[in-house]
Amino acid sequence: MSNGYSTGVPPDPVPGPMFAGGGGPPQAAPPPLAGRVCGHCATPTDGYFCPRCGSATTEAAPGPTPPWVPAADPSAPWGRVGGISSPWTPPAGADPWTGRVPPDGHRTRNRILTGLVVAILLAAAVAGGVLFYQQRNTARQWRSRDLAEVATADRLKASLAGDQQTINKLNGQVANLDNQISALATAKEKAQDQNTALSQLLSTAGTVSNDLETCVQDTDSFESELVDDINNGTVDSDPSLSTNATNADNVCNSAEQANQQMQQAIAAAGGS
Amino acid sequence: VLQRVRRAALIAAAAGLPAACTAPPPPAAVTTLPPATSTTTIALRRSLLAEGRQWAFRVRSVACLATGSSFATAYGIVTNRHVAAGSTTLQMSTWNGTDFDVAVSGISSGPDLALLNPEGEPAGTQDAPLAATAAAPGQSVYAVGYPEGDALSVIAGHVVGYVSGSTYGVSGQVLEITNPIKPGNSGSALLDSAGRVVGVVFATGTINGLGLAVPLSELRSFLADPGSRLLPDCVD
Repeated sequence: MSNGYSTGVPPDPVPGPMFAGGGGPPQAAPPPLAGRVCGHCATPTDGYFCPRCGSATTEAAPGPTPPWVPAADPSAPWGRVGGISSPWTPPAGADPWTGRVPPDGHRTRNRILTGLVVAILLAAAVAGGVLFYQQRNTARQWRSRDLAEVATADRLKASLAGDQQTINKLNGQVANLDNQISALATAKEKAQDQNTALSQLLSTAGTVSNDLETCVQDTDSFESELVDDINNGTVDSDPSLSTNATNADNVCNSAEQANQQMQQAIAAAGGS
Repeated sequence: VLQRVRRAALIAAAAGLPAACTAPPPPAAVTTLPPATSTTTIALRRSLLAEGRQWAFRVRSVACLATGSSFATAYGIVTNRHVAAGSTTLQMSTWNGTDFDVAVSGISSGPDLALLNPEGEPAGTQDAPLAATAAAPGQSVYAVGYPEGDALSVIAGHVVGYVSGSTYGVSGQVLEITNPIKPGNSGSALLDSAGRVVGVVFATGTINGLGLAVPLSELRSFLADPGSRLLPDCVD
């Protein structure tokens, strides 16, 4: 039998295919190796080794068509093991590992599941990418905003310090102006106090002046009356003379007293 | 299959959550810190002086040729009876020289107190707050007024105690204080450290040199019932 290529390696001492893992293809017995001859003594044989001399056999001539069909896909994992081509091909639609042909419902479900897994993996990859992009973008924004805020804070701090200095300076000026206003107001009030006092004194002076004038008039009148009484010799007999003298004396005493009080007030006002 | 789809959707949603959580915050608003309060005596006196400018007035009695002090309250302007004596109207002035006239609206027959009509008060005048409790002996008090007709000033001292007014020939109780009271301080508001009125200065004791003030309780009683409008004669 020929499968179209020569392995060039020693034949497997155990005829038949080998499969990796536990889930190999079904253990169907390969057909006999008819049409081979010994490479040493040309003895026809059915095996890989000459039963006579033990040498390896070679293909002698085309034999009858084997009862099995080689695998269409030479890359099938079960096609070759250890350089030996497998004489077995799984049926169409069979699981490449188990070789079992699933029913139609199972096959559809497997496709859906496979599609879902692929879709989820794709979605996860896209989400991860988006997340990474967002994180990087957010971090950049944070950094940028932080720098801007720090710069703003520094600027505001400097401005605040300047404003505080200005406020302190203005507060000092305001306090100084307040003191000046207060001093001027006090001076004005003191002047008004003096003005009030002097107005009062002026009024009192007018009264004192009138009293003194009355005193002078009464004294003049008394003096004239006294002179007349002396000339007439009626000093002792004039009843009004004593009364007038007392009145004039009272008026003058009162005027004098008011005058003294006024002088004291003037002296006090002038000295304050 | 549906359960797996749902599970995958949940995983995808959970993966998107951190992105939402890490969004940059809005810029923080710039806040200003409250000014620090000074507790020094100088600062307190300045503060009381600034407050006093809003309610303390200088009083001039033309009839008696005298000056005194007064302060605005929610009930009217308060001064001493002997400051308001001799005239139904008094000349008032603020710390900055703004003049206005007021009429006497109440004269106490007990403590040395008088109430003046607040009409005519300049704009910006505020009322001095009355304390809730009387000043205790040893407590710091401040007389805010116009001693000797000069500028508005704050005179510091503390409460010695409460004595009967008969000691000084007046009725009711008298608050003795160590503040060096001067002529012209009559009618000054006596404040506690919080700037609340605890008394009204009216004299200096000739016995011990202590300042004398009408206590808060007497002031409250008078403000509740200002009494008559009978003006006494001028006091020498």
